[in-house]
Amino acid sequence: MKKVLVPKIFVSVAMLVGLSTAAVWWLFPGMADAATVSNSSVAQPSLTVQASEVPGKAVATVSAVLTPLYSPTGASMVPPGAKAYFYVHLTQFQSSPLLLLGSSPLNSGGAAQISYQPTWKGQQQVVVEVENSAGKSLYQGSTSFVATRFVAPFKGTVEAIRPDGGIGRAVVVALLTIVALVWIALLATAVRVNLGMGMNASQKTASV
Amino acid sequence: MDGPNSSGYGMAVSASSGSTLIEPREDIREAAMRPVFDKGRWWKFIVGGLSAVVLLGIIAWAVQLADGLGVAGYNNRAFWAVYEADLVAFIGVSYGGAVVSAILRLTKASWRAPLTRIAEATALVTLPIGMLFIVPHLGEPSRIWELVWPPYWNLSSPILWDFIAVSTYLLATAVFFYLPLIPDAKIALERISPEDHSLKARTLRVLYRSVAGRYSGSYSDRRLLHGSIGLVAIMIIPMAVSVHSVLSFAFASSSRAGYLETIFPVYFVVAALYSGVALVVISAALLRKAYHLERYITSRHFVRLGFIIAAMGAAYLYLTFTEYLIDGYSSTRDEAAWVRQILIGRYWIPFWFYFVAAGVLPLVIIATKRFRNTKGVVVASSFIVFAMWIKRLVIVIPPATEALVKSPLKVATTTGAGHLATTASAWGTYHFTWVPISITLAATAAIPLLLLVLFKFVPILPISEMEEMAEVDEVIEAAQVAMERPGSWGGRLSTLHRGSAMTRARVYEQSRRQEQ
Amino acid sequence: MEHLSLRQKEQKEEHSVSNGDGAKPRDGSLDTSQVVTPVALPMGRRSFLRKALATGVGAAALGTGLLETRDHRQVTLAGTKLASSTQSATTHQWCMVIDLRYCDGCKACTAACQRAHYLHEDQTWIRVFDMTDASGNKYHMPRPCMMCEDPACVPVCPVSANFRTEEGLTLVDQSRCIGTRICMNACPYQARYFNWTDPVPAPRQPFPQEPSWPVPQVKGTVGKCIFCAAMLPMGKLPECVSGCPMGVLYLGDLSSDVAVNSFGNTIKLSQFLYENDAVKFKESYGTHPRVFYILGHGQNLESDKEG
Repeated sequence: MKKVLVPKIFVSVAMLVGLSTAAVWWLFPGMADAATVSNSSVAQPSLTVQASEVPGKAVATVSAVLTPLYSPTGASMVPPGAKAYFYVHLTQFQSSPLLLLGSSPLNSGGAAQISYQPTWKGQQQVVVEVENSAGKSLYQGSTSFVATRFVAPFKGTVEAIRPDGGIGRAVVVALLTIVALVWIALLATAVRVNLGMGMNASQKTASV
Repeated sequence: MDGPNSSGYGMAVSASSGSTLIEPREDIREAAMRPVFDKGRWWKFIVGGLSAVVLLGIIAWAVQLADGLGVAGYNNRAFWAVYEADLVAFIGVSYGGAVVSAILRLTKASWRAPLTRIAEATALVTLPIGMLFIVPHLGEPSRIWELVWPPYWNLSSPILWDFIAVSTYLLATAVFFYLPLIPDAKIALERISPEDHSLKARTLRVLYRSVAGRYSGSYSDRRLLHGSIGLVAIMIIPMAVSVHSVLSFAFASSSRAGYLETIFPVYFVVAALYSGVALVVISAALLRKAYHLERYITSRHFVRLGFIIAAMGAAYLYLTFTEYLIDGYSSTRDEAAWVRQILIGRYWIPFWFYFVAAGVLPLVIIATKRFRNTKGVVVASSFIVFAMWIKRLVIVIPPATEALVKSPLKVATTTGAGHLATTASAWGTYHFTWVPISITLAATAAIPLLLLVLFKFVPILPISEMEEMAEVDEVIEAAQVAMERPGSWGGRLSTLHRGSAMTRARVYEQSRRQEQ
Repeated sequence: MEHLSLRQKEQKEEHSVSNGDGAKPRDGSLDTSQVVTPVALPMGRRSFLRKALATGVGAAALGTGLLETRDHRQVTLAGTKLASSTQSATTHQWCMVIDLRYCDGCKACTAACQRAHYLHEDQTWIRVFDMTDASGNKYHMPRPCMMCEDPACVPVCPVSANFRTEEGLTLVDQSRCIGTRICMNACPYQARYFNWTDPVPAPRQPFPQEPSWPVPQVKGTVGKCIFCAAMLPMGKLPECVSGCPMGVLYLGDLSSDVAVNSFGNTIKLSQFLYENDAVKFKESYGTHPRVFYILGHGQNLESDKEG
């Protein structure tokens, strides 16, 4: 009798475990999802960044989208309070530091967009970073585009603003001309006296 | 009457110096040529001593070349100090020639005649010395050629304007020295005995012949000469004014308190005229003593120069007063600090020394009848020349050493230990070292040195001019006697201009014609 | 605009560099695909330029070459025009922003500059003034060369040894300077220093001895802050800027409206200056300096006392 009882208990316990697992599985799908995410092959969301210049304007728009937006279970991948920060690499400096262009919260579609005015022509390497409400950095993405228009808030070299700034070269020319004339007059006087002397040496002076 | 015609050189000469127009005055000629023929041993000693001082200055400059301007006491606060003041001072004292020779000529002050050669020579000698001061002033004098290299020129630079202006003035001074020398060279040529074949005589003959050229003393020659000298005299006056004005622009071109003064051009010109005439007084007095020219350069000359000095001194004092009053009254903090430093602050000693020695003292001396003589004027002039150099230092150094990032007005602060500690912001200091003092002394010594050497070649009195003046005096005397005779041409004397050479010549001709 | 903490910025940079296309390689070399080519290259061009200028002007000596005023002494590089009011974005217009709120007067900037350029102790090309404001509080004010847009030092040099590059840097040509020191007189900021003695000897430098890197100095000539001009084309920060432990000094580019300090903090220049009420020093002198000061504590640079 004992030989038949042990296999019977085994089978019933196994069936019990199996059935309860299936029941739990069916009843609590979230648990299943979590379990799946931790070790399954469902893709991590990544940030797709697109940037381009608005045609005809010195404005560029940068948009960032989290893809995929939803988990296989349909849950949104957008963390609550997520914010996207947009940067551009500064090309003027060797360390290429990042300049913050702006920020925008991710909408429910997992997208954020800003527009900005590039301040130089050429490559604009844009970097976007998504942080959650605690400030923890979650996702990054970057792209680059070429800006053909830019704004320049500062003007270039200032013209000298002096009261006599407009007189300039004319005065210089006039003064140098006077100096040259003086030199010529002095030298000519000396030469003229030298050459003009003794012209009447052979004649007695008429007056005496 | 013909004076002793000692040359016997050919026809061309005999028609000239024994000129039918002007009588030769043997006494004037002998006196004028005295330095040339003088054989005193004192000359060698003095020239030797002065040369030693000049040599010391050259050695000091060589040390500065090797070690940099730092050995001259300069630093980043006192970036302009003694050499710049020397530049202004030495170019300034050359203005005596302009005053005595040119201005007095144009104002027909005939008493000036014996002084013109000495005045012009002083100007001719001090101007290059002043210009040479640019060499120790520069940090890189080996590149001084860049100043005369037009592609490198920056025509907005006041220093370049300085250079152009002073060079032009040097040319004018040289021409102005040369022109009256022409007739004198002719006369001097005859004074050299034809039997004299020494090296010195030969050199002098070459020199005099080249200067005199074909001058014949005839009427047309004289007219040409006098016209040219008059023209250069007229040109040299605005040039003198502009040169020192431009020199002041080097300072006034900055925004520093004490430099940015609109009064600077006038200030510098008046200072130059003042110190220049004083230097002429000193040179005239010394040369007169050395070569016994008392008969020609009398106390009358010194007193009259003294009047000119007094006028210039009063003008300069007035300008100084104006500058400090206005800047000290309603000024920015910068100017107030600067005026304070000069009047009662760090620089009060040199300023008040100027005030006493070159401000008040000369005026007192000239004003007091008792002191208004040769000795008084010479003493005043000695003070003036030195004190005006000090005053130039007071003009140059304080604004340079001023801190442009604000500093407290007090010079030093006390530390806890009771020692006076100068903070980095205190008025910068310039300390004299042996180098700039030697160079300045060398330049000062170079003036009498060059004068003594120059007058070994050049007649010390303007012979021709003085003879013409003497002639005019006699003519006028004779004419005044003739005025008593009816129908004489004495009436025409009322328009006689003493100083005009052409009128003199005409008068002389007419008087001769009358007498015949 | 959100304020970014320094650490956050550093972290962000760390992350961003490691991926994405066109990322700057981490080995420090320049990725030329993304760096804008500056037009002004002071090194090497300068001596060519000088020769060309001298030859050209010498050939036209009696013409306009003789009559060039200071306006024409500004460097023209390889035939390009003088800096005009419409800047192409490939040029830079360097400036500096000095945030006085954080300067603690350590003078590390002065030390870094003097070390890099082999200067004597009195040659404080960037000098930190210890000031007292009207309430008696102490603050510190670093003063580099202001790189004025209308520099007082340029028109006064008789041999045209001072010049202003297209990028707004005023430099000294020590191979031409004759040492009149009139530029020291003219500078309202006391920013010029003379070599009164033999210069500090320097070992072989990574740059040739030129106005953009006058090392070693030349005795008897004037020297001054150059914004480390030879390093700028490579995007390197000047020694004082990178040597500041407090991040007080920013190097800025006016034409791109950006600036960065030693911490890597980047700022949008126009906005930063506007928001922080930036001032210039001695603006009334009309030199249009390109160094901006952020005060923040009610200081008055013009009337505060040093010491």
